[in-house]
Amino acid sequence: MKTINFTVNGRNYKLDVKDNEILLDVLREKLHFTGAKEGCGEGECGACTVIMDGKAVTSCIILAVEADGSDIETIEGQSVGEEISDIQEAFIEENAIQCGFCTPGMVMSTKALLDRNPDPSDEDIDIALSGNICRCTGYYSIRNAVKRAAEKKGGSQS
Amino acid sequence: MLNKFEYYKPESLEKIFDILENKEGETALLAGGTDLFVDMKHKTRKPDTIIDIKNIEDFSEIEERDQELFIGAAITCNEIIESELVNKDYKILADSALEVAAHQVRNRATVVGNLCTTSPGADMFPGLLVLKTKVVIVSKEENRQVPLEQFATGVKQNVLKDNEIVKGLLVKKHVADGKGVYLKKRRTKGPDLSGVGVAGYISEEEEYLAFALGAVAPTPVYLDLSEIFFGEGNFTDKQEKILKEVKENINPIDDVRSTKKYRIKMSQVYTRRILSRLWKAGDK
Repeated sequence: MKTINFTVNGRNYKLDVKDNEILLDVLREKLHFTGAKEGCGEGECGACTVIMDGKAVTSCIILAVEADGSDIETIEGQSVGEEISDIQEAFIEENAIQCGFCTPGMVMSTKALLDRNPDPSDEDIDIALSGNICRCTGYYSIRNAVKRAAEKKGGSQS
Repeated sequence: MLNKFEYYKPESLEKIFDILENKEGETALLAGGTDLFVDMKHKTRKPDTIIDIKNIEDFSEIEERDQELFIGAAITCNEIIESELVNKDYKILADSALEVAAHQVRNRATVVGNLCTTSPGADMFPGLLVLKTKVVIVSKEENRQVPLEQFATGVKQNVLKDNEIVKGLLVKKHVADGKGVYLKKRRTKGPDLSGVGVAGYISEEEEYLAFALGAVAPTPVYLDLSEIFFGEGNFTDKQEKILKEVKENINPIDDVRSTKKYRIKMSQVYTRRILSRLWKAGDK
């Protein structure tokens, strides 16, 4: 057992975790942030994407102990009550959601992208979301949602 | 669920050496963990001890030292892609890193980790090979530098001993006219492991031309073709000689990513394509 201190969506947490516990499992089962999903469990599908110290990462292949001292953002932090973020709004407006399983990961990858690059090109978007697999919506609407989110945030004027 | 193990995150190399020396059972070094934890989930690796190397200060450095670029063992693929230093004089490394997995994985996966897993198709091998990279290996007893072409000894096997750890890489800085290209054959447009990966590099001033190929033999193949290319003869003849050298020095297999026949074909196609990008036929 190790004691870790970290923040999730701006709130501090101190908890005991086993050395072999995975970050995704701790977020979902101990802290009940169930927005991040387990798809492949191997870092390939992106459903478990969270932002760790400003970077999008697949939380299914990171140890919880590695998150000690870090700042984690999950999909739960993107809305306040019923008020959703620009990115979430853009995904709804562009019909970039169908079953919704991949969406939390898509939104978190989008947030990490727009935080560092407010006006991304199509190529930037494709690279940033290359690790997020969607099996039903189709990627064009998702790319459009990212562009729309950038516009809402005042990045792209196109 | 991962098997049980003890996790350490030491702040000094000495402490790492102590753990390596004193722990019984299998010990795994952890940088990004993007290979290690997948292997552990597949139960192909069950370490008793995991040593996280991300607290060692030098390991997060990327800097030029005496005509060489030092890449610390904890430098991620995305840090390479974003590095101004890399993009200025070692562009082929940024291009290669962009071929490793997908964006989120590249935020964790390290360049050195890609080499230490020593997959025959590891994307970082060819580009680093053509730039003439040395692997900086340290242990309690000795420090040594191994040329990268001698690092891999077999499929997922390398020269590292149990008590050794890779501190980083030293990449030779070539003169300003040098340029390199990395091409990778994959099954899909999205992230995929390499079916064939070919890197070529030329520096006319240094009279240096090299190719390196991944996923076409048990270990990555490095070919210094300077003598052929900068020797006597016309471009067409030299190109044919180079293609012949490539064909004779690879030994691909059939697997899920490609057939042997297709790998041989694509290694020829990519070698020719890279050569034409590096050198316009008729220039020489």
